[in-house]
Amino acid sequence: MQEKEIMDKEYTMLKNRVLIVEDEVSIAKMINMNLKVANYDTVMFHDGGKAAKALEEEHDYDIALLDIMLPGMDGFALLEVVKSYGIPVIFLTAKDDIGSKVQGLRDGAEDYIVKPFEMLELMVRMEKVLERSQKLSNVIKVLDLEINFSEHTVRKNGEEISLKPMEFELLGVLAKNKNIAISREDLLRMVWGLDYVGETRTVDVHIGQLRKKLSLNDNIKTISKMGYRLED
Amino acid sequence: MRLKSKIILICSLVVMSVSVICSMAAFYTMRTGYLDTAKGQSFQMAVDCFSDIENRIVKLHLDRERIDSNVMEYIIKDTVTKVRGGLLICFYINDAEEKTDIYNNTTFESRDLEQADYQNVSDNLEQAEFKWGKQYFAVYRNHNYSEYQIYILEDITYVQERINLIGLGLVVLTFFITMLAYVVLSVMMNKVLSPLQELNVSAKQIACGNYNQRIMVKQRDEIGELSDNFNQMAEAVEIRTHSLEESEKRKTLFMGNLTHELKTPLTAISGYAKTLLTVKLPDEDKEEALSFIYEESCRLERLSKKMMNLLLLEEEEEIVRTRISAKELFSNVQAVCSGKLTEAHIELAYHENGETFLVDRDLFVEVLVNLIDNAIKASEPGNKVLLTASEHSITVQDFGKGIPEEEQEKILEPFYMIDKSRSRKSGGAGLGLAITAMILKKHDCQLEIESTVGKGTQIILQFV
Repeated sequence: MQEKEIMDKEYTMLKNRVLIVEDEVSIAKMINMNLKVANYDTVMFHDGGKAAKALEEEHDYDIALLDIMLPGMDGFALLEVVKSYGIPVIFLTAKDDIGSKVQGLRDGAEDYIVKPFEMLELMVRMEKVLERSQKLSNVIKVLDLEINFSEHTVRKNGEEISLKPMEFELLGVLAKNKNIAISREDLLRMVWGLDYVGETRTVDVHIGQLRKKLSLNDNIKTISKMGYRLED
Repeated sequence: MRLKSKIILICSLVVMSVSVICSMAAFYTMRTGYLDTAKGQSFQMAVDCFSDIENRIVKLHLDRERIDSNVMEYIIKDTVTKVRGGLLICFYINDAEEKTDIYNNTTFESRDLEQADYQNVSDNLEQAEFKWGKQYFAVYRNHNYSEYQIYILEDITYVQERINLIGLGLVVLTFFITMLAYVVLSVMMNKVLSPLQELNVSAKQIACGNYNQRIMVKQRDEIGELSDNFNQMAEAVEIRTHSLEESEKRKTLFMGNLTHELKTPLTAISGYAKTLLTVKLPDEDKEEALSFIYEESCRLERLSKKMMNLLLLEEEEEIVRTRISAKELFSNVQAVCSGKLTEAHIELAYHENGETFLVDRDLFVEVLVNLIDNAIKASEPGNKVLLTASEHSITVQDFGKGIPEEEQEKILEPFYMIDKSRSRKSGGAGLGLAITAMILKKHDCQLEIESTVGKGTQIILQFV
């Protein structure tokens, strides 16, 4: 019993809890689907008022994704409620006028994403927000790997394996977005940076190194046209 | 050049020319008059003088062909005393045509006087005007006596001086009249043209976009008329601009709403597709993603159909009206709605007393179906929806949750939904009432809303 509790604790520590308030069921479920795969815990609401009420009972969230045009209570009002529990907020809305953006950010939202959006972008932005609020775990466990971002080390079954800096960064991105395919171009941008002038071949070479060093041949999959995916 | 200056210049020139012509006419008339008077007086004097000389010669029984020069001198001198202010010259002409003075109380010589242009004024009497320096003289001469030539002069310089003075006076008068005309014209032009100035300023203001500009001119002349017309034009421009702005605003709002309505399904479709392509999903999630893609595509299709409807309605100029009985209309509507009604467990009842309406049948069925759709959405299962016809109106009544007062105006706007999530679930895009409003507008039919929250809504279609 005690053992299970400890395991649960470790488990919850690794998973970030996300509050999703979005009245479009299809979009809420889509975000939910993607975040679950990327190792987030999610709770969905389709009504602002109901979300605010539920927060009174339970408010143990690491981040909240709010729509602005919501039934019950609009996003700006809900922002005040969510903020009062110390939960960082990202607005996810179709309202792309500058007034709403300024209001959202000035009222204390961490970020403002306009629909239609890319899931990858949303996840990277969420990561940045979590990093700022220091709610991002320094250690990610995937398969038999333990990636420690503060120490810059990778352990496979407890045994440290030395990686070159760019190989480590690449592994980090794949692990953080596990089970999601990322294109070579996106990887190049996310790992090497926007101003890196290189070819997507660089990515292929580094993926080859990772597969060899960590024996991940079966787990780092090449998805045709879509890029690479680390699967567990 | 300004219109004002042009008018003033032209009018001043006209006034000046007229006054110059008048002055000249007056000048010449007066000059002739004065000269004639003066000449008349001097003529009389000359005639008297000559007859005096003649009388003496007759009295002395002299041979007028051969008068002694001493005698002649005596006669002349005697005559001179009787001629007041008159000047008298008498020459003796010898055989060699040389002239010698017999008597001369002037400084003139014979050749000076002969230069003048003589004209006969009576038998033996010639007259001329003679100018010497600044002096003017009327000269008379006589040929009665073969050896003598007698000139009588009168100084008429004063007449000439008077004439000159009058001329100067007339020049000054002309100048003053012109000046006066200029001043009067300036004042009048200012008064007459000031509304034009105002008109000008207002026109400029309107050009700058200040469309509520009007001119306060109360004259009953062409300028007053122009101002009235200008005001009418300004009003027309204002109304037109206003309506253009309104329609532009409506269009922007419509486009904004449309993009929003398009964005959500598109985000979902592309998002799910990308998720399916990139994410390793469990099978049930895959199915759910696919079903969402399908549902959202259907929503887009519905939206595009409604949009087409709305656009076609907007473009179609005229509707085809036919006389249709309320009974036929209502049964048509009931047939279309029956599926939805049974699904929602709502009963549709209608009342009519043989009324007929002149409407486009298909479009009006759509109007009523739209309204009944909304009534169904607002009602709870088991409720009734009433359709009532009267002479000039049709009423759709439900006993559902009602429309809050602040929402009543907005519900006719495209994409407006009171309960967004619920409308979506029942397949709405927020265009039904917008289409309804458009059709009713084509029918010159007004839509009135009477609603109480919690009790229900009455929509009255009032034919004008």
